[in-house]
Amino acid sequence: MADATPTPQAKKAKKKGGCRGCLKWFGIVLLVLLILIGILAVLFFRVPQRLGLFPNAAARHLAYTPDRAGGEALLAEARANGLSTQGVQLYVMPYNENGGSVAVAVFDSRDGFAFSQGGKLNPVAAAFTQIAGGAKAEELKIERVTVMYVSKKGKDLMTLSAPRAQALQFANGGMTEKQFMAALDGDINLPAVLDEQIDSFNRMMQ
Amino acid sequence: MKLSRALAIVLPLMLLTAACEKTDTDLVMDFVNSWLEERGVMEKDPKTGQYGPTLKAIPVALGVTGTGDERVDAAVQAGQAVKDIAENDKLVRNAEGDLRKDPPDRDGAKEKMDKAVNARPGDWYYRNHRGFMHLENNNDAAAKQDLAAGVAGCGGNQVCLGALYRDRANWYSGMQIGAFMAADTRTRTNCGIHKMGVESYQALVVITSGKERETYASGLQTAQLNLKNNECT
Repeated sequence: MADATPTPQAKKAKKKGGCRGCLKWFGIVLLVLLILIGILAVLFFRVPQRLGLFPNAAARHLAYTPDRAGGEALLAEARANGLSTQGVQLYVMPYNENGGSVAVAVFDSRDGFAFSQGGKLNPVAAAFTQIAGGAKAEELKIERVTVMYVSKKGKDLMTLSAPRAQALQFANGGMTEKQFMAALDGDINLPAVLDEQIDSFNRMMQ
Repeated sequence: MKLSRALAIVLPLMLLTAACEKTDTDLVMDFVNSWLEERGVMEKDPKTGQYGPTLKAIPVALGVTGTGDERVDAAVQAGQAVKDIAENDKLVRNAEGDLRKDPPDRDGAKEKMDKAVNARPGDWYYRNHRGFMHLENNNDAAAKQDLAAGVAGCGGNQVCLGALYRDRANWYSGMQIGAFMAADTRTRTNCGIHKMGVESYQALVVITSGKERETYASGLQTAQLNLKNNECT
């Protein structure tokens, strides 16, 4: 019986060992949490996309060199349809597969782009119809219109893409703005959006 | 930064700024807001009337969304590719502006052209235009290298080759009226330029048909005449 009772030294040693174990587990949990936060931060700030590590559907399906001449002709048509073309770069990217193409516009506010306001349609939504709605777009076999908006800070806030058929339907009144919104696909740069909103808030507070 | 925290800051600010005069950025933010709501990424709390993120916001925030249709994903991702192209096209335009200065800023032009080509080495457009610059500088060997790299970049694709030779023919016809020529070389005989003109029109005569072919056939005759008149071999 006397053998089963631990000596004070043994008790102390056990207690010390237990504390070491706690610290070890705490360290592991902390490390895992830091790694997880790191992964989320890397994804949130689009590091893999910037480094070209994510699978790139554009590289697989679209021609490497855009049709610049087609883009210029389409831009002239969009101007005639009411789009303010200052600060707009418009390219036609042919699909590799079936002869169709995508009209991709960059609206760069650093170069003086401003939406044409005052029309019946939402100016942002109207931009899609101004690009998609003419004979040149038909001739160039435009299937989709993609619009990227670049802020004064040079950040792309949104990239939205609409099927040409839906853009035409919306322009002709055959579709509500809500329905048109539902037809859009895209990508939002949330860190840049957050940055813009904080700036806007600061301006308002001044 | 956690997504919920980020959106918790963004959304009330969106509502606050909505009441002010609308700048273009505000218009875009409103549109983005409506789109995110439409896609179920955000939802309105019926009690408080405030927007909040749904679970669908996580992949949006992390940029790992996909539509399931590769052609649609390609169209969305094309925005980023085109943003880079637009930046490099600006470099080429500025380089050509440098060449049109009197006297031309050849070093500035070369630096900008090199930057554009290095950013997108497979883009025939940049190869074409750096080749034109070399031709203007009477550096036929460097021009030949760039022009050949441009053709190789098309990989035998006829649509691509058609666009490439049209760009060359367009530059050549502009060069003849002095539009693209550097101020101090406008009157200088340059056989390399005329040879490229002849080659481009020859290719276009083969590729095109109808009225377009007739136009290029006429251009070919002029280019051949220029070659002969300048005693180029």
